[in-house]
Amino acid sequence: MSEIVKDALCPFCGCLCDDIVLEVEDNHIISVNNACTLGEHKFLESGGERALKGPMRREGSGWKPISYEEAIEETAEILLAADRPLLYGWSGTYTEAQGAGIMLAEDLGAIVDSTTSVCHGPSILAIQEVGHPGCTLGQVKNRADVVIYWGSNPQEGHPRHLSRYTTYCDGYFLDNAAHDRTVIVVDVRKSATATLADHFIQIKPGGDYAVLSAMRAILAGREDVIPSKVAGVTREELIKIVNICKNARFGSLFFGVGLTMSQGKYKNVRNAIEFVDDLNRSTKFTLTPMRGHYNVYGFNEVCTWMTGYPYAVDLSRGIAFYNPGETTAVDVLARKECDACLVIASDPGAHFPSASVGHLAEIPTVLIDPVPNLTTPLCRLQIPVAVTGVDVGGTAYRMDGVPLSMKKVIDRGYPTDEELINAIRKRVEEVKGI
Amino acid sequence: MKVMMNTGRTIRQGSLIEKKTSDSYADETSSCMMNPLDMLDLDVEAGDHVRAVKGDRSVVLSVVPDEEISLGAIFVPLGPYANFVINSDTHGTGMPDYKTTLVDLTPTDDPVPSVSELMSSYGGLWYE
Amino acid sequence: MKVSINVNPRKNPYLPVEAEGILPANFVSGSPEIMVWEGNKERHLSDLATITVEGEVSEAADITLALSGETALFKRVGEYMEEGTITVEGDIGMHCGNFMSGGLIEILGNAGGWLGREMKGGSILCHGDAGVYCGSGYRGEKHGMRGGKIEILGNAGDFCAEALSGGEVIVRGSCGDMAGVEMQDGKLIIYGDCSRACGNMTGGVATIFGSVSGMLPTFRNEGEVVVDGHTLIQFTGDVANRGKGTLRVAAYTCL
Repeated sequence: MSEIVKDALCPFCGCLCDDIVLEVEDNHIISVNNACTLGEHKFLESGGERALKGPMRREGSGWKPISYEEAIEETAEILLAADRPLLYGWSGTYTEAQGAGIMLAEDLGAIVDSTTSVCHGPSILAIQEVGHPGCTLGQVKNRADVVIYWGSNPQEGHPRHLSRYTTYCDGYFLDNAAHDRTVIVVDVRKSATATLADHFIQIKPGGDYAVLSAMRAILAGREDVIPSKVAGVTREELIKIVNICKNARFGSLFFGVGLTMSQGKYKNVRNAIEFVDDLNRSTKFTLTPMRGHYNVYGFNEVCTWMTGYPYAVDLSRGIAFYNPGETTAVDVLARKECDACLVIASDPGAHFPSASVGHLAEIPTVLIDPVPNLTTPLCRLQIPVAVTGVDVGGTAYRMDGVPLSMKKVIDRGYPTDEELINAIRKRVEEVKGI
Repeated sequence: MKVMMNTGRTIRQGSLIEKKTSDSYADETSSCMMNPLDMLDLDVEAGDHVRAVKGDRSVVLSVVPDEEISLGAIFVPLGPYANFVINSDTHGTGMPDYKTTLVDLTPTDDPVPSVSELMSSYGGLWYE
Repeated sequence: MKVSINVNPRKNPYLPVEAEGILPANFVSGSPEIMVWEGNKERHLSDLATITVEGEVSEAADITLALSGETALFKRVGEYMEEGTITVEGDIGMHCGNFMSGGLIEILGNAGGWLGREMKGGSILCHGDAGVYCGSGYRGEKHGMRGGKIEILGNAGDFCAEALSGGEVIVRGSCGDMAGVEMQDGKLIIYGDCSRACGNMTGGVATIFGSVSGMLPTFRNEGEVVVDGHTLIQFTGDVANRGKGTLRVAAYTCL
């Protein structure tokens, strides 16, 4: 007999949709409603047949099942033996578990970093320089008459973003929102989202900074300085867009990795923030980074409460030292500094550049993840856990910083990330006498 | 042919995130989306293979035509194939050049490696 | 007085060593116990290097620390230095000369990132190349280097002289991307090329005797000017940031 669970939260992207309807039967999720295809696959597959039954260790040319006790003991040993351990990932698990992870990093004198560093880390670097003129997604939905997607393709990365928060949804303070909202897309290629825009501005790769500077100058009344074309965009087009923004009643700029991953990285985001700040001299405009994972923001929150810094924190000297480029995972691995790594709730094997991936294979790496992924071949042991939003609940932070509660809808009997990390911590503390 | 490689999410890649060992995932993440005019210049057709080289690293990809890609650029869904040639230099920011890696493309008859071959070349042990 | 510090090869040569204890002022009382951190382990410098003292104990200003051997991953050497001299025969790690207010650091090889970060005075001379963020500020700070002089005979990496607020940064070779970004005061001189110079500049003078690629569109062309016998184009900007800085370049291209 099946049961319907309403208002479940989706554990995929930063939209953190909270209206998912799940049908559960015999401790399995058999159908998913309201979710996009990404969320639906996550619900149906992460707790599915590919999930590991228990921990396994690489031995010779095969994988051998081991017990949780053995796995915990061996993980603690590996991390304790290291001089520069790295605890990486964290974005795919709930905030309470992330907190336990940071305490483990402190016990070990490790570097703790999350997928932030290869996603919106640069956004945080920019926010640290010039602040964050943000708001909640509810404000955007109910007020925004101009929406900009810059270097972001929500149709493929955050599929329900437009229907839940921007283009296609109703707004309390707007009469005919879906019809009246103006959507501007800025990108280097005509993405799926660009085809839906009212205005599409195509810029040359690497040209975001120059275009944003030009727009700020136009806003400051200095269009006389701008050349006739900037990064492939005519001055007339730029003036048109700036006027649409200036005349908005409430504008909202969403930006993605198109800005954070292009040349200049965080300086592109800083320029976008300063553009929004400049717009706020005459109207109301906000800015939101399109966070990719459902709880990557949560890690930044809890890491900041606990260490003072949002990611890439080096706790090796008993104090927190933060310096992306120096203390970030990709760098620490590529430089071969790291001599042991715990990967949790992420997949650097698939998403890191080759030099960093190669080093993960050379050092003892432990992976905590329910399902085999591309970090599995590189690790020494993999430990499966409960899937957040499926068989464990916990707090997750949406892309606009709103904390919501993930639901537990089935129980397949796995330990949670929090329980596992705390068990490893307990062993580490016993050995270290702390 | 020198092209600017852009990588990013696609719906198909995202929906296969729990199935990274599948053929569909390999297929999607080894796609090299190119403008048909560039394909003409390089003398390749849809489904042909190209070798993308950056420094001393190279990977074989499969050509997919896409009119919306600018000339001189390619788009490869984010994943192990693109990352096989992306440099780990983060310019002091922690963020690699995922969207701005210049690669050299040449047509090739070599097969597209499987994901297990890619991971094994790092010294990994494939798990099925 | 001269202190020679010869760093021995280590079992794990990839582990960085944090060595802010390597400072002339720390040797005023002879040969003290200097502690360094190798990863998460605290160690005696004397376990990692052979330390020899020549000459009488003296004032910090008269002390020269001469580093040699495997110094490339030694970080934070000369941090907070006020007087004295440090010479490095080979390469030096990140954060060399951070917060320096006096004295001289001379590096015969290459320097890691963040060389002379937030420097207030004194002098750094690097014969080789410098890494990213040479002569820059720190994450989130409004001001970077405020005084002193950094001279790089080779090339410098990205974000050189970021948030420069005083002092002088001279690069005889070329710089990477965004040299002089957020510059507010002080002097930046680049003899080679760079990309996207002086974004968001509000003050100071940047002189580039080479070519700037990706020249930003928000600088107002003021005409030609002759500097040291070279004809350069003078710009005022960054207009996007209501800036009144001076940027002089020999040539430029736009994206």
